[in-house]
Amino acid sequence: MTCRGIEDSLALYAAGAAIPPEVSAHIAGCESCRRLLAAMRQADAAEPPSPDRLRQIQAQLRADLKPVKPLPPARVFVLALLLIAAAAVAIGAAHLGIAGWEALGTLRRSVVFAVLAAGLGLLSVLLSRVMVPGSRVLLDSRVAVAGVFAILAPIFAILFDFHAEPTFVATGLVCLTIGIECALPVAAFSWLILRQGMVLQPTAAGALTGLLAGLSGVTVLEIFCPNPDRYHILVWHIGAAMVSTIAGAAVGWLADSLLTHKSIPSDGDV
Amino acid sequence: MVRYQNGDAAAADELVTRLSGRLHVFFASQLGNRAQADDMLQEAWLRLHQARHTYRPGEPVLPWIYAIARRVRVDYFRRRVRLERREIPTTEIQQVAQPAPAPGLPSFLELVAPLPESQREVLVLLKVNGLSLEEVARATSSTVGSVKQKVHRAYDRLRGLLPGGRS
Repeated sequence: MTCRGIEDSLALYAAGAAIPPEVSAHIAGCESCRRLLAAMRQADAAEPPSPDRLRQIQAQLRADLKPVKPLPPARVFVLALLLIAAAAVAIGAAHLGIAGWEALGTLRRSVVFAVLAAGLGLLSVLLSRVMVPGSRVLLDSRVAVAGVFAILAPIFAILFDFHAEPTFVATGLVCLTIGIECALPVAAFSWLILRQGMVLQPTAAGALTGLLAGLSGVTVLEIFCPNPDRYHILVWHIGAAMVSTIAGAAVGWLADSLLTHKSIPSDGDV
Repeated sequence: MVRYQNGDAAAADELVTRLSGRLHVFFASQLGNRAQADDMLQEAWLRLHQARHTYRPGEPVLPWIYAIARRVRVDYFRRRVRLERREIPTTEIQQVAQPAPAPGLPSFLELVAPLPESQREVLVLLKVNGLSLEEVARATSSTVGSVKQKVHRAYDRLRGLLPGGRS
């Protein structure tokens, strides 16, 4: 038994939980752990809240105590988010055509759409958790966002070859615009879904929503755009997802700032 | 909690009575100020009330409550930063009355006061609020591994701060 080995449960021992014999043996022989456990057993310094304040809180809650219906299971929200993305892709493909789909070979088509579908699925699951306080965190939002791009970009770089393109910027801007236009409604409808819950980290939720919407835009572009140039796809198609992610994070941050300002009363109001 | 969601006034009263003490310590551990902790407690209950539909029956209650309480605290500190930037004079701070600690050792909240906020928070949630590592991870939107890392760092630092230092 090491000092580090007992630390996971030290708070429990300090609160009175039974200490296993091997832990007791270590503590008996370790001055540092003995001091730490004694310190952790010290009384909490804070006084309880005033009874008047508790009565005030209870009265406030009683004044608006309508029954509420708990949120449906997370899978309902995952499905709803995936349906929104699927609807945007279907509408986009119907309007723009499927030249890109036809230009992709079977292997590239399978890999590209499997990766995009996996990304959309992962983001839907993460968003269904972000909207419920106290949910188990599967993956940190920043890691998820970075991971999606870190997986998507190399796969696309391997699958597609370089083709010289005289109108790199002009054609690229068309794709970037289409990608963002497809992402916008997905982001808007997804945000309406998220509002059903309580988003405690709006910037992270905004980035995830933006990326979900952006990947929907990339999916539309892969179906529509027959341009096989590696750099066109990396810069303009994946770029659309990046712009959407950054915009989502910015909107979330802005909402966070405004809500924080609004939600807390000023000193004079307290 | 389910009775509270169904509009049972007695259940709401019971929740407030049973949980407010621990929530108050959670806020006071960051502030050391009773009046502000009272205000934050009230704000937290209002937000919990508004968000009560987001609790799913069968899920652990404490991570849900502390996740929202944590957000109230974050908002409070942001607001305080804004007020300080505007140079509004601060009101006289009413410190929490401290119970007499054991001779030679500071009280728990005094002990953890020098720790960085994130480390202090996990220790308070574990020791004072009685949450498990998994519950702390949920409440802080983090992973169990990340919480364990913070706990180890906090203990490592506390060992150095304790009278007598490291053995």
